[in-house]
Amino acid sequence: MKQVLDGNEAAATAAKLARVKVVSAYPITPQTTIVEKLAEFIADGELDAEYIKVESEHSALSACIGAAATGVRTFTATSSQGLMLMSEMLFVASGLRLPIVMANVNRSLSAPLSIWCFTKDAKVLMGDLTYKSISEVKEGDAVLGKDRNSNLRFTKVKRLFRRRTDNLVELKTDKFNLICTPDHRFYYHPTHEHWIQARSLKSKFLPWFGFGFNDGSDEFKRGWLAGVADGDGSFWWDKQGRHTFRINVKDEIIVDTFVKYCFNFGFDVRKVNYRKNEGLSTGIITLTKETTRLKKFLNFSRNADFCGGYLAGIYDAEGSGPSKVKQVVIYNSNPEILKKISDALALLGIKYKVYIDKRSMNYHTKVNNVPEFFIKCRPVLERKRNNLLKMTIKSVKSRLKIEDVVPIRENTEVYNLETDTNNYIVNGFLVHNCDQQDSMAVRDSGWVQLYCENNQEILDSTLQAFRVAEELLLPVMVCLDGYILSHTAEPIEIPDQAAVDKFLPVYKFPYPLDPEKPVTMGPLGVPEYYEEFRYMLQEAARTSKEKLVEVEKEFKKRFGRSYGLIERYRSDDAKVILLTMGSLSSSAKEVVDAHRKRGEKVGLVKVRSFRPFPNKELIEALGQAKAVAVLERDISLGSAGGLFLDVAASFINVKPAPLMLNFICGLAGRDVSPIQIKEAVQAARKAAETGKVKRAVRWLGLREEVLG
Amino acid sequence: MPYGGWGCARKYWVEDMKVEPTEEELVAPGHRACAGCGCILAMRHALKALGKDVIISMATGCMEVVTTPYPETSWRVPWIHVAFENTAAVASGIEAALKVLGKRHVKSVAIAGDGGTADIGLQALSGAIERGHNFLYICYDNEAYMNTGIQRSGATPYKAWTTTTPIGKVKRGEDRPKKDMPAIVAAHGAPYVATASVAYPLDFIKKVKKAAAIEGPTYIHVQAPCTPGWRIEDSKTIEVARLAVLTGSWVLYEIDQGKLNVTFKPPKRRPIGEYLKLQGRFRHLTDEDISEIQRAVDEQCKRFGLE
Repeated sequence: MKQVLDGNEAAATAAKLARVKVVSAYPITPQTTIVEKLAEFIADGELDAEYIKVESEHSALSACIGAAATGVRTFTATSSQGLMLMSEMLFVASGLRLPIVMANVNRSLSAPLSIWCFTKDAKVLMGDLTYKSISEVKEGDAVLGKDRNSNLRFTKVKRLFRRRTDNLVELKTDKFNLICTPDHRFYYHPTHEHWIQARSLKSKFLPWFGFGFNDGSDEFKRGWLAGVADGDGSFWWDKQGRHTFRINVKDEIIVDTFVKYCFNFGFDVRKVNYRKNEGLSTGIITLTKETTRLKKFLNFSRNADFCGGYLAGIYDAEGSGPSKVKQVVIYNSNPEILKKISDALALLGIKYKVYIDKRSMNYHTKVNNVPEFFIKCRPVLERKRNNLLKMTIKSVKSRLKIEDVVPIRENTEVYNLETDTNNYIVNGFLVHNCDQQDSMAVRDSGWVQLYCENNQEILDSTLQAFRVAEELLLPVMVCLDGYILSHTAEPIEIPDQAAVDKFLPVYKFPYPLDPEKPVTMGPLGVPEYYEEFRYMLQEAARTSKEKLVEVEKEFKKRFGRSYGLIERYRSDDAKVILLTMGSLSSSAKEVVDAHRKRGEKVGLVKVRSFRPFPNKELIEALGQAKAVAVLERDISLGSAGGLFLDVAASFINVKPAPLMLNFICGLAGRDVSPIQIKEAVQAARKAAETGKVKRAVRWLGLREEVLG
Repeated sequence: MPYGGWGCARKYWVEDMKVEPTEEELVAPGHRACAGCGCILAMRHALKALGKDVIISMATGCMEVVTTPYPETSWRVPWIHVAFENTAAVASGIEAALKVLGKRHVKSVAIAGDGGTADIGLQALSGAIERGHNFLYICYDNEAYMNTGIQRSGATPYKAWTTTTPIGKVKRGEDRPKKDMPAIVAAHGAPYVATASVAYPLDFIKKVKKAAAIEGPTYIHVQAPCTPGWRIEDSKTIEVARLAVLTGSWVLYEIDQGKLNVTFKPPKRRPIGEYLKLQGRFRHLTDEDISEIQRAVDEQCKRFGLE
């Protein structure tokens, strides 16, 4: 049965299917909906379990420990600070060998918290350069965002979030007010990739793209026609004495659009191709009366939509840039038209300069603020539009001052969306959309850690987790990304209860607390025995790898899905391999693709199961490479990245072993740009060529100016 | 018997003889408790009252350490130790599991020292009582962190010496009165709260039995002298504990469904000095100090209706 569930619901549903008997959890954003869903299941009688509504995460896991030791299947869920509060109990749970399963919704550990949203009035800049209310944006819509190279790019909306909150701030500018969560991050300093929280924006100037205008309005179309006519068009009397209008342009799209817009206003324009061999297409009107009427119709207006259209039209006809110069340039030598361009630019508040090319006596109108021109004018021609898109965010010259930041305490519905580039433009401001963090801090606790990529995997991994946990007497943590997975609905396959019951037999703990057969659990571990306990625990943790594979095999047989301990991405013949975990993988994959396009043997390996560490699998996957660049969003302070240390240790007695480099990057959700990843590839390639590594551990994207 | 306490005490013992503790020793001998340990006595008596059908969750502390040095255990009932601050939470998990398993006859019992109850474990205890789990919580109170070597806790009495409240030139001992734990639990609306003393075992056993029979969160706070911590002779444990009651410094009472009932009224209260002078931890007290403490004890007794 297919059902549309978000990541949290998937985790809760898995717990229900596993027929857990005791749930003990403490609410924390973004885990809350797991607890809520389970409470609903229990309230509706769909799940026959005791739900202990504890007073802290520490007690949540403590109660799970008590219940699991008494001999029932238990489940808990937490996130971030909650996991930290639990951490003492994590070690106890594994030490007591209690098969507890936990869903951990990954969230950054410290401020800023990643619970960012806007109210429904926020206007998102869409792919067609119009603004749409955030509540009306749909999944799959194209919006404009910043890519990793700080260029504007069309990006797809991957997911939508909606929730209620009463913790908001209102940003006041002289043009509009915008309401969002206080920690929402806004793009502040383009050259330094600096994002700043909404609450600290008072009196700050933010790069502002400006508003677009009402696309599709008749005034815009009329303006565009006038612009094209002033550019590549011409009105003239032919030899037969007919008043004629023609445009000769390279791009047929201009002609098509011209014809379409003319029809819109009832002008009969024909598209002809008689100058095709010169590479030009032509649109033509031959009726004298019609032509004169059109000429009158295209009169310059001071309406803002008209001006936007006019500039778009003339740019489509005669504009160029900005691939090298990073400027919008419009060529024309007619002073009358130049004046119209200047008027229109002035009206739209776009700064410009006019230059004269002395030799050709040609006039150039130049606009430095490319994004602003782009968004306000929206050229129709795709080739030129893409040209304009290849511009850096750095060229946004206009700034809007946030006059005041006022807290609002009113319970309202708020929205957020996730895009491929992790940002989008709201009311002309570029905003970040989420933040990630991993649960490395508790890697030594003896829990199995599985990192999920989608909601189906969450459900499946949770079911597998119970099997693995109960067969090995080892607790399992299923990790899912906060918001990206936890609050995102996807259609997922829900297995039959009967099938799950067969996969997960009734829980039987071999040594329960039972007055019939008393046991003492958690005694004083004297040194004579403690080491052996740890050894046995390590053995269980180590063999959990085989168990994971075995359980996955059976899971695949029953349900047809499996995920593996690692993922190999174009790495089989790669000389340089990037090693990543979690969310970093997707951007690194893009870089791999780019290198592959150029025929370079670069690949990627992603780790899904961090504990148990898949060392054998990694030796096999990385063994043939010359150099491995380990990119990770964590550091074991005083040493190196956790993943790097483990990979390096895997190769300790293996020959030949690749050279290894460690790149610490993207801490606390900071963007890791392809440029930075390429830097890592470059360094790894150099190491591969020279056979030497100068510095094994490096940081990517450090802001020198902060370090001083 | 220099204090003449036996006579009075026996009178009440006789009255309590209807309480029949089990003959079986569920806390086995051979544990590592100090000679004269009052706490292990409390464990033994508690288990005599509770019988076999219990699951004990115990906080880190003296009793955990001395009873379970692996591979040995003194516990002839199912027993679990998880950590210091979460005994009540573990007990609530056990209770939930017992409910699920349909084992209604088995009682979840949490046992912790004064530090694990009044200080670090207070949050978990408060949560578990408020949630109304069916469990009994026993706090054995030796009035300091004895397991780690006599550091003061919230339950350390006024003026007492500990290693963290030393007798210096400026400061002399603990400068705060003892935290009133039973009152805190009673304020949660627990159906049954009681104090007890190892010197009055039948009173203690009776209360444990009563508490265990009640469906809901119940609490017993038993005072148990610590010979090294209180600086008393190994043979004086019971004597000191009894004097605490006879002087009115430790009042035996129960709050049954909100109704206060003092279960033992010393016929004629002894001066507090008799109790204090037996203990090395109060050796530094001046006569002035003693009369200050006496005033506080009088005040307390007045509240409980003791003469």
